[in-house]
Amino acid sequence: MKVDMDELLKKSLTPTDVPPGRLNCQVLLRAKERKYMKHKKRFSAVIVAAACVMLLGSVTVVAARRYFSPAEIASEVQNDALAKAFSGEGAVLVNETQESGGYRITLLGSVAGKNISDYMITDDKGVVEENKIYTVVAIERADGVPMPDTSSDEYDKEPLYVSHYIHGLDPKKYSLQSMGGGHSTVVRDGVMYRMVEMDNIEMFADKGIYVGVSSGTFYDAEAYRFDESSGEISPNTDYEGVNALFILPVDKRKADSAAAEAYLEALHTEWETPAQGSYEFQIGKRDATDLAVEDFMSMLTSENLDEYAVPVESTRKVLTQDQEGAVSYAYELETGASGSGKFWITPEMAVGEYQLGAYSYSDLQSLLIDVFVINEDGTVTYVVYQPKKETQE
Amino acid sequence: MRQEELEQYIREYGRELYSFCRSMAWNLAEAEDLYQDTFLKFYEIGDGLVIEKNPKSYLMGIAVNLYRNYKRKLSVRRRIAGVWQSVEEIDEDIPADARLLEEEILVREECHAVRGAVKTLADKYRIPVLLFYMEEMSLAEIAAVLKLPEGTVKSRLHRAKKILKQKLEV
Repeated sequence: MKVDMDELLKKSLTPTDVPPGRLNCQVLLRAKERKYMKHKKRFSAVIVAAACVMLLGSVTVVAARRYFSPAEIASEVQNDALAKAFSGEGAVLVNETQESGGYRITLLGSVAGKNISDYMITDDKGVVEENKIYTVVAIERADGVPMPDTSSDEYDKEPLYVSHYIHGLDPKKYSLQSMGGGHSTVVRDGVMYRMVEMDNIEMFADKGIYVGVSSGTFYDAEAYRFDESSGEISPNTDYEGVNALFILPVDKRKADSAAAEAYLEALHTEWETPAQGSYEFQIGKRDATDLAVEDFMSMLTSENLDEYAVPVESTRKVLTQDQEGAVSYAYELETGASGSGKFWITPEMAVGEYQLGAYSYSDLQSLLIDVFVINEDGTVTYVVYQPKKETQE
Repeated sequence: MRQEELEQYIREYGRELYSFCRSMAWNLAEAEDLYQDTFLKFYEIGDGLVIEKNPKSYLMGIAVNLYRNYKRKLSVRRRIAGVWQSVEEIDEDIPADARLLEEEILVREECHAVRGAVKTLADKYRIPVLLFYMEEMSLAEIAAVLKLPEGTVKSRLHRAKKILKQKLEV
């Protein structure tokens, strides 16, 4: 039977492992510790625990009903302070539904303000002020098929991006992810509730604030049209996907053009950072030697070995496989450098083909690479290679 | 990078990264270390990252580099022994479910066999296979992460499939 290897590999290697909540908590804890080291801020254990709960949310079983209120969703993600804010006078309850791309999406409501969440960061002097806007949308499939639970493998197979947008500002640049955003998701009775938070933008109330739900993990530039002259944002009618767009009825009296200008200025300063996309920056400048060697080794293949490296003939020897199918090797160079080890021969290793083994170095110039070649008679030729001088320049 | 952003990245890419780490590392503890360290490195360098620059590629690039660093520090013996250990662990990870239909059992066994075979590939084949089939990254993205020409990535994938076909006798 002819088997499509591509199909088989895709099917078999589909990510199925789910990181345990405990592990994610550890990541967040360690990240907070690092931040503490960097900014000398202190984070209380309560806050850390709260952050962990956030990731572990969506466990509680609650009574079935059509839509939960934003306050109930805040409670579901263990955020009582926010639940209280959603129940208070400052909350905007909307309940407007749109259908888009096969989904029925309902904007449930929004609330904004300073320190209205349980998830506050503290420092030596107490709570660091956080001014955020929180909005909850309910998303269900228009065909009635339940939305997959967050613990299901099917969850997020069709990712949706929920964000606030501001009239007059290009949504490609100004959205959840560029404006201190995050989200929590709860699935109840086949309905997915997503609560998004980002910097409070109520000071733009006079311009107009939107809530968009579109296909994709990040903002999809095709989902909406932005008219630079009028500042209008509208769904792209040719878009094949989800691109619902609501107008959030925020009290216009909350507009503050001076605060809006100051906010944008601060945001732009935050964005203006040195070029950090370089490979060196990604994995740490202190590892420059590691980088050079990693680069060299990444580029090296059995096919191009002789092009970039030369054998140290004094180390060449023919070895015999032991009962485990391994060869033991050792070398000593004139410089005094020495090494030894064991190399296992596996079935995919072809006769006559270079097999690159372990390597050691103190810098690129001193890089030593163990190379093995399986011979016709089953013996293995071992030799140490070093980079050619010209490849080091 | 802000804490909220890190949380969001964990939500969005945690599952994919974790699967990748489980497939790369020698055992569960090392997979968890790799997962944690990858996110922490990402967090450390993430300030000012332009989102459009493909955060998934960044994450996978960091994971691959950290994995290579770990590997260098370990003895060859441990590496080889660990491969077989982790192949055995794959079976332990899948809970037995007596209610599974025969067809489902067959599919599951097939997946076990394929994952086990991929685990035994040399890194130069295994990493591109995982990035391509598990993480669904493009050849260009993989080439950028591994700092190899696209053609080399393509030929390694081709060679890997050939090896796997022989191993699996399909």
